[in-house]
Amino acid sequence: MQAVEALIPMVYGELRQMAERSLGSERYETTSATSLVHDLFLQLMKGKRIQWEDRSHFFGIAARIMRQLLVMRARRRNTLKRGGGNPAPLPPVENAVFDAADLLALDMALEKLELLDPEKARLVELRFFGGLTMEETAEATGVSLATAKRHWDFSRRWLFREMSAGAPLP
Amino acid sequence: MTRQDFEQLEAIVYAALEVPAIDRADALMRLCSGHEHLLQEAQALVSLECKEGFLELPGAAAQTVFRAAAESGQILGAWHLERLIGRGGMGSVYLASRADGRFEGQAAVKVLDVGVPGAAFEERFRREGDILARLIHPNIARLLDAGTTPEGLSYIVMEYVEGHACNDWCQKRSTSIAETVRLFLRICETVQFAHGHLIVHRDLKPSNIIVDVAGEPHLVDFGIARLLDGAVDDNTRTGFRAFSLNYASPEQLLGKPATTADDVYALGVLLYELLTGQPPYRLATMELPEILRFAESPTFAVPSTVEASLSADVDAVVLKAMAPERASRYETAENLAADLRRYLNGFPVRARRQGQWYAARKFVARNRAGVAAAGLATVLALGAAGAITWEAREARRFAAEAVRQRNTAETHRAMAERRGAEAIASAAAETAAKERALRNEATASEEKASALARFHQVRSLARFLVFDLEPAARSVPGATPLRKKMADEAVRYLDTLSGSMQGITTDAELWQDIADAYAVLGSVQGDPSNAFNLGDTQGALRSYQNAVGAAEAVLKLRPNDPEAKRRVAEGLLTLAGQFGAMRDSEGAGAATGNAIRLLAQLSEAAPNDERVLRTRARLAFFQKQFSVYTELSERLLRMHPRDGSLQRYAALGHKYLAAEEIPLAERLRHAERALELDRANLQTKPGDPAARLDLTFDMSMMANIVSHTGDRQGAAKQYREVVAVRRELHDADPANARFTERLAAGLEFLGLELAATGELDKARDAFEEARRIGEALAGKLGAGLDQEIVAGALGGLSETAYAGGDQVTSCRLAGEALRIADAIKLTNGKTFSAPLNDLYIKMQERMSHCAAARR
Repeated sequence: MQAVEALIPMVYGELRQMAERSLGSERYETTSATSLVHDLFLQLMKGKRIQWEDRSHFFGIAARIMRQLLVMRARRRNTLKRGGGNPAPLPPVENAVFDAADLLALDMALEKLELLDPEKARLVELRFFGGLTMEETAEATGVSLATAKRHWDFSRRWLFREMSAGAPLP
Repeated sequence: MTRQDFEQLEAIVYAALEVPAIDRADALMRLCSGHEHLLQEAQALVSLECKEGFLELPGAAAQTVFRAAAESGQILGAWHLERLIGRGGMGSVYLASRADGRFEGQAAVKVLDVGVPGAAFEERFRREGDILARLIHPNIARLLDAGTTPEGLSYIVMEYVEGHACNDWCQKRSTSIAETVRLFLRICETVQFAHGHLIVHRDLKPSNIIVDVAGEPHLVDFGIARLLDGAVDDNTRTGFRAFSLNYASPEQLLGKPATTADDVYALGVLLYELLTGQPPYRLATMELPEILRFAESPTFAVPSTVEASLSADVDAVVLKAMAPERASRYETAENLAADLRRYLNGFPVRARRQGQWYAARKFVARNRAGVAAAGLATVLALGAAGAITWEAREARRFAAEAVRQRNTAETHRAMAERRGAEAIASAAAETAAKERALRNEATASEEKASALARFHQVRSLARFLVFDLEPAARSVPGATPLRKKMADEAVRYLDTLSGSMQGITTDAELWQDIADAYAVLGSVQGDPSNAFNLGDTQGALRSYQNAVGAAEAVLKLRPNDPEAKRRVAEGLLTLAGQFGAMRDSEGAGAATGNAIRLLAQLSEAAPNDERVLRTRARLAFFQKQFSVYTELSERLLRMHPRDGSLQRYAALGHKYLAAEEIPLAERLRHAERALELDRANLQTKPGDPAARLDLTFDMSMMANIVSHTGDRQGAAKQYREVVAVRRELHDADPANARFTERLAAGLEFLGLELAATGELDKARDAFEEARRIGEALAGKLGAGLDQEIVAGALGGLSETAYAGGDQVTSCRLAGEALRIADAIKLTNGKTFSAPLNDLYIKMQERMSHCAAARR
């Protein structure tokens, strides 16, 4: 655990660099955030045997960093858009599942979920930003697969409602 | 919402999901008993069922797309990029020309997305490039150049071919089967040529096969996948795939080394798609484990079941090319071509003769819904029209299923009749009984079939549009026109449906469905209490009218059903509300009149029927007859003395009555009853924040009455309690804007009493805090409520300053308060809430005093 802890500043630096290289360059239109996380993890851990605790700990941190980077960038894009100087229209992109606005909405909804149920928020972060599979997520959060699935399902419903309804007054 | 609420909500939602869909609404009401404040949210969460896809695509964030401008005009190596012409799995493709003029004509430059280490790439290019450069064939786009920029961008330059992807080309020209097969033969020959040079394409797919104006196919990206092999450090295994999932052979999916057999498989998929107009399966939306399972045993529909004009021979050829085992596939592209030529010339195909079938189980895609809903954004991008087409197709599918079931029913009926004849002949009672049973079965089967079709026609379209797509579209900026379109489409569909039913159907339940759908639609279009309504009040009115019409059709079919009558009355009340919101008092009056008439009949027949009482209470509330409403609520409460929501409803009535301009003693009586009811409600759920907040309204009302008796100090004491409770609620749930807003209101009431008793410093503190809260709430409340708080606080501060003899400050603050009040009036275009109105008048008074003083 401590070894991984010590890696965090480096992880952050590396990841940031990698992400900036791909995300930051206006030349590129898409990037695979998850593969960045996995790449980095494998690069750092190459040749070492890693305990599960370390792994889940790492992915937890990486998912958080990835979320921060993506949100930061989405904010910048949004500001850019509002600032007028919009780049030329683009061809439609396949699989454009989330755009910057969605991402910001998700981030906000996740912040709310964190207040209400931090465990579920963590699960969503791991799965969505960390790209973990359901099984990995269950293991990383220390719950059974069935419970993880149930939590995931409920979180999705709740987030979807939160994001689509704006912020309804209670 | 608190953590406890959230936990409770989850429990409720899951308990409700265990219940069959049809009983869910009732189950929710039951489950939320004691947690009424969660009901709305629980309903919404339960009904979100078909949200497959949301956050669900494999590594959804991985697909997060950041759009950026194509950097046209940039120079890459010796190439001048002119414009972006396409995007693929590997990167962006630009139209380019040679910057130094050494190459006439245009080229396609592919800039790679993946992190390709420059040195490794160049190494690989040196090794493979020569081979590829020698691959000269009129139907293969030549590799011209490749390189890495100083910034680390890798790119590949190819001959540019103008034309259309082969699938588009076939579709646009609606090519016949023979024409399509002939084009495909040219493709096979080209692939065979490359295979002869020991080069495997590895990524054959429609977008890599461009057909030019002369109808000649050109294969692009030949060998590129191989070129990229060394691109990624094997140790890191990034999962980068230089092939497209849908065209990859099972062994490619499983990560085995590439051979010519992969290209043969891809050709099979391509042939399938060109002949049927759709790919045999879509893997892109599956999770990795599913893809791997698929690779172990691929299943899909045989071509002739998709496109009926295809023969069994074509099925056989496609299936042999797509055989999961390499050994069962055509050995070469040439052999595939040869068998197709046999087919074209009318000879039996080898694939069939050899009986090389593999069991092609019907491909059960995860389900079409999953694909269509994969990422609502995608659906939305398709536009409402696309979604509707899909739904319509689905409805047709179910209609077809219904016809099939009906045919079964007819067969049963025929059998029944035959047996009936036998029964007469033998006069055997036993056979007659059997006949009856069969007849019943036939009818039941037919009924089931039409019920199925009905269910899907009404529900799937209207519900999909209104419940799923429309709410989803709310969060998408600028989607209002789209939402409008969806609502319009739903109307169109419902109109068609109810039109075709006119005078034909005697199916009361169908009419009930239509009524429900119109009611929901109306709410989306323009229900003033629905914060996300589209502002289409006319459309809402029409929908509500249609809802009443459909409910009346139910009543016509079931004239003696009091519930049918009650539903008409409910619909009329909703309609009247809409008329009211549109300031059409005549329409509102007529609808209300009809509702009253029906309700009178109903209460005469069943004076104590609970549902009728509830509707009557709703009517009274709507008509602002609060004493009638309160009386009815109390009656209902006597039927269920422990029902928390009824306690709340009754308390609400008493609250309204306590605020009316009636003698103080009566007001006090109502306030005390409200207090009593709200206390009882709170006792059933101790600590419930909503119930506690309810109670503070009653306390506040009591304080207000005390203040009116002249006991300002007593009032201040009670308001202090109100503030204390609300502050607790706020501290426990700071994100809850409603608690915050109410705390501010309490502070303002308290401040007014303090100012009146001369405690000016404390009054100022209270107003200042309210003002800070109001400013912090900016934009978080609807209808300018935060501004109302600020204006109220400023007004209070002005009053306090005046009481302290500081006229200058008082006038300045009154001016500020009035400015804000005017702005609220302007933006909301509405009349003020009562407290603000009082303040407004007071501040205007104050300003005229100030003006007089200045003179």
